[in-house]
Amino acid sequence: MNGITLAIKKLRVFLSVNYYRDRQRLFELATKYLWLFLLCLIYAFFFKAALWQKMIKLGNYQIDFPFFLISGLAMARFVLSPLRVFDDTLKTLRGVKMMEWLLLTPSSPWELFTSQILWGSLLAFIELIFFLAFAKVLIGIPIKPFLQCGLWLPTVLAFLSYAGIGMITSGLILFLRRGSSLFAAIDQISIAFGGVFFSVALFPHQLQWAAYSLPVTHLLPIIRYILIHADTSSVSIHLLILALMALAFSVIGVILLETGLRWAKRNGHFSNELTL
Amino acid sequence: MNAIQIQNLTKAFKAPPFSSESQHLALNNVNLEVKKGTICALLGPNGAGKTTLIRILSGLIPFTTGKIEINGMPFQQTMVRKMGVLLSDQTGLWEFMTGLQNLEYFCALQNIVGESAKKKIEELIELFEMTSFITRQVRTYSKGTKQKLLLARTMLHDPEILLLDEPVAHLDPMATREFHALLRDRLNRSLKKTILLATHQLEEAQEISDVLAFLFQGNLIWQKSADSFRSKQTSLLNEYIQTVENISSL
Repeated sequence: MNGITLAIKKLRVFLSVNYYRDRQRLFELATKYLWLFLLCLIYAFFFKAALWQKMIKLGNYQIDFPFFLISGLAMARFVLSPLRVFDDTLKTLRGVKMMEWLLLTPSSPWELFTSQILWGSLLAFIELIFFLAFAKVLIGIPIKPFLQCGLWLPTVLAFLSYAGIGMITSGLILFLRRGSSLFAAIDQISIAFGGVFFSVALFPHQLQWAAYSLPVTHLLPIIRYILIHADTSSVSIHLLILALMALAFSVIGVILLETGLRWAKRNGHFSNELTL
Repeated sequence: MNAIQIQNLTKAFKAPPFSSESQHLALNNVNLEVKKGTICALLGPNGAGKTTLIRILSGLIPFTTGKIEINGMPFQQTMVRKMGVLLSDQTGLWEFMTGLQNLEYFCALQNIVGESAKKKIEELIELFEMTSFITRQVRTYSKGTKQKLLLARTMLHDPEILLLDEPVAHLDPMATREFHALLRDRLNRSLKKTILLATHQLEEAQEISDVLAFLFQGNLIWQKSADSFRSKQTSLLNEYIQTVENISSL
């Protein structure tokens, strides 16, 4: 059996673990959060009444605030998904004491991380579709602009950047044997300061610099410009920065995670519980 | 021929911060030989170094000094993947999947997929008599059943040597007896597997093992044939207690 066939067959088995797990989770979530859907309906009613046709300034353009917000939330949730994947993988593998056993096999932890990322991005994509469908039904956000091919490149670059940040964080956690809450912190900071709810231009000057260190801050202006069919030449610098971030974070991430795995193996730290 | 030969093995762990000692010697000049096709039981109180020795042989932690040979070849990281390892604190099973799905997953980790995986799993189901529960979710298994599945998992890549660290630690006497019979009759006698077993179960260790090795405070105190205890009046328990008391009083 050649390497590619073996890799594909292994990937299928690894993905099946996620399927069995998430099938169970989905059933539990569906029964638990049915009431949340009703709450969303009420919330959407007030949201629409209060904010519909309120405009927000985006460079030289004006954009509907609900459109601004939903596009920000949807895309930020999507590109931040690799962080959740790394968080989940590390916790699960260590929680069930699988990590150590994995090192006794010819398989590399990278194979598992890859399958997890693939599964995570599939779920994030499904979530994105649901999110936009709900936004269309509840608030009346148009879906057509989201089907533009131009959205793919910046989204993939931001996705790669956060995959890199996920690897860097995982590597640090393996080194320090603590810091599992870092994933959630980066996720929340990106949502809060990445220009999801407000334009970054509204932040104080120092905070703007901090905000621009986040990939999502560079992604959202490009996305929103494309969505409203604006001239994107003024935001092309963000695309360049995003590309550099994707490259830098991915390379540093791979090196740090690989070193972290070796370090944890050398010191026998895999079975230790994670702390905050 | 020796399956495992250990010479002057030392393992020093870095002492924790603010500790009076600079390092902690978990193993100190240990010499041990395990012949091919035999069962060697590692005995000793908690903290004696049994688990450290098993983890070193599994390739999970490096040793500080000394020499290890496996089947006459120098110890290498790639070689440890040919051993079957069952660690004491290791569950490592997906509870939401069936035993069969778990075995398929672990086969894939061992690069065994497709028809060869199916064949191997069928062999193991038969060998370990798992037909009645293998299609049930692991979360419904008893500890004994889980342990059986874990042992089957260690056999997926057909290892010559099995390293088992307290495999019966949480099992009741009946499950312990069944597990030990499985080790001795099927894996050791029928399949000729070499087994290094760390355990606190003295009676059973004496019954199923060929050789007993006693570790205390990182030192190998004695290595004797299990037959010598079977024929002698002195029980293994008395020998165990005497050894600990003698060394502690020094």
